[in-house]
Amino acid sequence: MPGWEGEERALAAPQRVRVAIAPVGAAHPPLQVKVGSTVARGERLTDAGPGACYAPAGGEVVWIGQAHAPAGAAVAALEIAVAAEETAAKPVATEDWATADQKTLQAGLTELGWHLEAWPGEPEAELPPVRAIVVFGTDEEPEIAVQRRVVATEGERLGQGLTLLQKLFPNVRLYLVLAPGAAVPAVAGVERIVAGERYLEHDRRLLLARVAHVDNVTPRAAREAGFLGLTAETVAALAASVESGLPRSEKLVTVAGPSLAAPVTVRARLGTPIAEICAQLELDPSDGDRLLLGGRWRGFAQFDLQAPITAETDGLTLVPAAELVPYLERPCINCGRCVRICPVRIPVNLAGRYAEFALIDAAEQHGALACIECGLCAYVCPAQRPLLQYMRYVRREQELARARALAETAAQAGAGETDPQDPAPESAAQAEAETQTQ
Amino acid sequence: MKRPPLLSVAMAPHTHLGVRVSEVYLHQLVALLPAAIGAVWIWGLLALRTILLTVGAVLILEWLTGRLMNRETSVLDGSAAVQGLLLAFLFHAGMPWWLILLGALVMVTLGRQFFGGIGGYPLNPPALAYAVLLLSWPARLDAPRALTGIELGFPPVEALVAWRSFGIDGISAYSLRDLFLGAQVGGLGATFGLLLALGALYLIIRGFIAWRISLAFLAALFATAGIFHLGDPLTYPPPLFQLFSGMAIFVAFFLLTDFTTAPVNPWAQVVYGIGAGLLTVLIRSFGGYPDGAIFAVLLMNLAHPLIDKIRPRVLRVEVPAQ
Repeated sequence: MPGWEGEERALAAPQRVRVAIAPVGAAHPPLQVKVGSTVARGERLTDAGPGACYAPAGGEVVWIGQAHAPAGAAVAALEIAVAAEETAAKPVATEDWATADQKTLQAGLTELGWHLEAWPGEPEAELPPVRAIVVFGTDEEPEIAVQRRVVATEGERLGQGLTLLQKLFPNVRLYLVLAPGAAVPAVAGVERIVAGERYLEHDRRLLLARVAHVDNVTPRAAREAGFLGLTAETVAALAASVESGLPRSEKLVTVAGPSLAAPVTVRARLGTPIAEICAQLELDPSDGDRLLLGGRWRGFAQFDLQAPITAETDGLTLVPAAELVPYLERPCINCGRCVRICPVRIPVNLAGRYAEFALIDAAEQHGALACIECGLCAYVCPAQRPLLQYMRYVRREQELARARALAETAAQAGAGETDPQDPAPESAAQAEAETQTQ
Repeated sequence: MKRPPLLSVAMAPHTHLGVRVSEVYLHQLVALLPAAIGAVWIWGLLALRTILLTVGAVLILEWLTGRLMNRETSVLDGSAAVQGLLLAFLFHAGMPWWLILLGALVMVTLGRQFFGGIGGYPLNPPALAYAVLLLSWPARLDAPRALTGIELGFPPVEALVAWRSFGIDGISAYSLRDLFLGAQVGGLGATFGLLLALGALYLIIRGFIAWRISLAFLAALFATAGIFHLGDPLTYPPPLFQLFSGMAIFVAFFLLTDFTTAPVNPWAQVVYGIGAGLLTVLIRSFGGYPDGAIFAVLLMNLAHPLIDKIRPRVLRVEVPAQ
């Protein structure tokens, strides 16, 4: 893995930002602004409450409509044309928060847009109380250096954030995952987990499973058992937000592409369109290239250059067409490399074949749902079969079937208002959220 | 204003190790080359003709059947060429040309294409084709009869046939060294143990074949033959004789290890190899065919999906305890 010592650059302020309000069909507090409204940086755009969103930049609201989240789910969104001279919202007074009690702190952070306990996309869901928090100080992908950079350069902020977490969640076990050799100011009561050099040692699902003493877990199941996963950057941003009295509006993103000799980490405004970052870094995507939000192992390919950087975006990668490997439906030769490399011991040769022929139940029986989506199986397959896609396909089909069953039961029990054909909107949001951690 | 670029959209991962199927089979061809050269050295130009005819027929038939079945061409991935060469190794030098073509036809159609080509067939294609020919034209596959008139430097009868026909005394003319160095009547390349083993060692070191299967097979064959020999040394030959005669080494490294018909899980591979080794000795000792290895391969192929159930359990998602 490359060191975090890669370059960091500040970017010029964006010309436009796009803010996702909520997944289409999901409930959210009503918008307080409309096209033409002027907003300040950090101003709340919706009514207060769970799911409220904030402007990462000041300017005029120029568009309200539908857009796509990084993994493709439809979201209600708005765009702000950033003013040359942005006004900032009035900061919340946070001077006496150092001595405030837990309830005051909680209420105050909600005002600043922080809902750490909530599941993204389901702000109103009743979730069990948090009993352990795992802070990820490493990056899941080899070319991305965001979390490690935060650990190395914002150690004090991170420490402040950890202390805040201890206050917000008293009697909760705190874990910090670090790369070997990483130095962080010691915070009492935080247990360190050192993850080694290999790709899989930084997988967040496996780390959550380790802390929860199980073999394998989904982020949702972990959250429902009280295990919350947060990135180090989020925790540091929490502390920064408390210090400034304003909601979070920036994000570190590692950008990689052919015009850059080595990946570069940039500090971008939340909501900056990919196109603007590409322009500033001279990344020039042409026909046939692939532009990813994320890295080469887990990134989501984007078709829209106006897609924005979100709070979950750690990477922006341009893969030139010549470097792309076409994963196609070729026959499996049964060499077994996928089986040997799978960290959760799925018989990928079998599960992949079942998924290829849409035999979802058989694929589930053979463990397709255990997949942690590391991508190693497809990486080593000599036949270059789209194995990860097969596993995700099985998961998606299972979610749709579950949503259909729920909708049918609701339709039978209720007055038949729900259309059994449409999967419930929660499942779309859940699918989106399951791909990311805060 | 320039239109925005048409970007490629696909699922992760967006990177690949770089290994291709054709690369895997190319290495197998390279590993088989020493034994092919050895075969030509021992058997002369007749061997070269058999090899070229078999491989050529297989490649042409593979391409032809692919076209007829409207299937994407698979000739370039190398698996047909490798299996063609393996089939040639099973033939003896004096095979009539029409029998070679028939064998190639059976292998390509019944052995491969009928089941969807590579990855889809239940039985090892060269073994299947050879078995079909053996059962249908046993006289033609009788090597000594076909090779009359050719000057050999070693006994003109297959070692295992000599044992079954003449008993233990009949194999005294066969030295282990000669057997291992290919000085025995039988398939072209299937009998040159040393060169086959060298090629297989290369594949094992590079990680291209499942060494557990080979090792388990050879160990089980040796052990079973050893037990029989210890029990009745006047009837059953020594285990090293069984190991080096016939196509045991060939089967161990090149037929049993065919990906499509072999298990992928390590303990399953061991059970598979042991089963084949055991069956080989049993068929050789009590069955109707002197070299039982081919049929042992086919029988274990049938059992392979069941044996492959011997695998570690999946680390399924669990809900952590409250």
